[in-house]
Amino acid sequence: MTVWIESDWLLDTRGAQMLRLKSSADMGAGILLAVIALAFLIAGRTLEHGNLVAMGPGHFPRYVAGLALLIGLVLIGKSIAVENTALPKIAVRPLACVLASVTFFGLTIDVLGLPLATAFTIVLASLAAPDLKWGRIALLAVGMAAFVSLVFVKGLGLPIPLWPQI
Amino acid sequence: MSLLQNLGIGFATALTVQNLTLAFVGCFLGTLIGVLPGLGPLATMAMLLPLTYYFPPESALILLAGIYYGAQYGGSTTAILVNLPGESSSAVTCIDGHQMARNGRAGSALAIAALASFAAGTIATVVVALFAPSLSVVTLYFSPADYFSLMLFGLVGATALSSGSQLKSVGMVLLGILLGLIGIDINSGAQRFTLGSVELLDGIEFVPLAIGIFGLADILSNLMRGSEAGKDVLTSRITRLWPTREEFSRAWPAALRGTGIGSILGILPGGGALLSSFASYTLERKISKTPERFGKGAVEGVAGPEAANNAGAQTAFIPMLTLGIPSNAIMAIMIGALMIQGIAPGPQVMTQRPELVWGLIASMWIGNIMLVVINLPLVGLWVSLLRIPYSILFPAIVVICCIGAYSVSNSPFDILLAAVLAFLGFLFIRYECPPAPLALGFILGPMMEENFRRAMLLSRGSLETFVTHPVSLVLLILAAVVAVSMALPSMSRRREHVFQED
Repeated sequence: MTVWIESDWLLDTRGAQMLRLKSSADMGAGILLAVIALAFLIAGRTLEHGNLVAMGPGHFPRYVAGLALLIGLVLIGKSIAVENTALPKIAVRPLACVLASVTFFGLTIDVLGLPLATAFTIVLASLAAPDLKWGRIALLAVGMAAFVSLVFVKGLGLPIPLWPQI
Repeated sequence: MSLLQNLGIGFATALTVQNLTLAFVGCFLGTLIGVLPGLGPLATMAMLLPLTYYFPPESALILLAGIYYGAQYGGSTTAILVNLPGESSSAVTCIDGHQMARNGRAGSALAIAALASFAAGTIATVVVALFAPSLSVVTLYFSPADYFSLMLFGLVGATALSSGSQLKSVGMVLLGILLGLIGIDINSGAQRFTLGSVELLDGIEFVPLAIGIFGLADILSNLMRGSEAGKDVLTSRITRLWPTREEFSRAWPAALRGTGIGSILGILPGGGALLSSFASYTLERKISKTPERFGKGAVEGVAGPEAANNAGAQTAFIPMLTLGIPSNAIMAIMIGALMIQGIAPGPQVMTQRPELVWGLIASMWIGNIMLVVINLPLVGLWVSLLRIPYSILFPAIVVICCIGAYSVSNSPFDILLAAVLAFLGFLFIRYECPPAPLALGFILGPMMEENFRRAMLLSRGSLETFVTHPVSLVLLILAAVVAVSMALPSMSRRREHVFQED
């Protein structure tokens, strides 16, 4: 098996092989872990370290982040050493639509009020699905806007604005 | 106080109109989301967590617990009728339960699943009632060093028993700890990792974290995989609910064994419903005189795992109630609910708020009766839910996630935070990193730092304190044994075997 892979690698698929390595799950996890750990190390570089008797605010997180960085690097190393299966491509549309709809809700809830923000969020999120049935989406948007306003604001009494604030 | 007295307090709490209603709502919602594939108890509990702020603490726990064990019942319905695990812990029920349905025995498969769950739930409730008080008395004498080692043991156990790569699980725990440390350090007053943001001074709230990495990230990865709805549902064949005498006599010993396995595995860190059901199925197949029937509709393959997952779901409450330490992500959410109420989780909860602990225990048993009623006669209603297309379901879930994140502190910032964490959670799923250890690290991280600091202060900076305290020493040895044995090749192969059907 290994021989076959190596000969395959020696043929003309050098570029493809590199790409495949890059997209493996271990590689991704390792990079993600290492990057986040590094970010914490950098963001906390000015925090006082102290000693064991009087631990500074930077003491504990520095060890945790260091360990996380180490594990990230081990994962990256592991992914280079062994054969990997490529990950499927990310479908951009559902990802973008859902994240955009949540962000939209966050940015507009205090301005538009709950029913309007809900309706627009439903429409935005619905764009993520492959089969767009506009009638159904409109119905769902209106229905959910009424439902959440009645249940959460009228029923449970959550302090969320109902009407647009100008 | 005697057990009877405690149970008296418990039933007095659980039988109030409000708590009965909330237990019912929890069980009903739990069944609903258990039936629907692609929406689990974790995400649902995360969404409803902020709402529990408006109830007294015991009512909040009763509602959330109902969702959790209700989902175990509902999940088996989908597993049997559609051959899809409505909930991950019913994955093994698919194997024989669905075969029974194909053989025209759907009704008795459903009945056996519900009755085995009920029997297990009843026994496990007694186990919780018997063991919880004694454990909590012991921990009242724990020193900070003991606590630190206990949490370390909990985290090591949770990573060892979680499915998937152990290295990644450890990484996820560490990330969780780091996220948990964001905000003002209580000891020095220094701002840590806030990047100058005022909203982050109090740290990341647990609700947007849970909603992001469990609720929204699940939606993202479901959408990537494409909807699984529209499979053939075996509804027309539910003719007779009651199992035959022969099925019954084969089912009950299996259910008892499953209850035993589930009760033990539920207490272990990282244990709970999922692991229990796998272990029970493996055992039933091993001890059966006719193992060839398994996979072709063996009653034991339904009764055992269903009993085990329900028992495990219940005894998982023991470490949460007595030590204040979550053994899995569901329990982390329970602790989150306590913290929203301003209750510090720990052994003192048991003595200072007996009505909370015992009310919850009593309501579990009442909830199990409700669930048999909700599930068996109404099975047609639940099955019709399976026809709702995911393209209607997910936008509605997105909106409820948003409202959930917003309502913790009426802050739009929390919604945006949930969006960021959802993207992170999506990457975790994509790179096969289990998100549950992250939630555990998030809850336990700040507690570990605090106890480590206190232990160091008491011992004047000597790390020996962790081995000179006997409890701490035993826990550290246990943690080391678990960590080393899981890293051994033979064990890790067995571990893969257990989880391969996941």
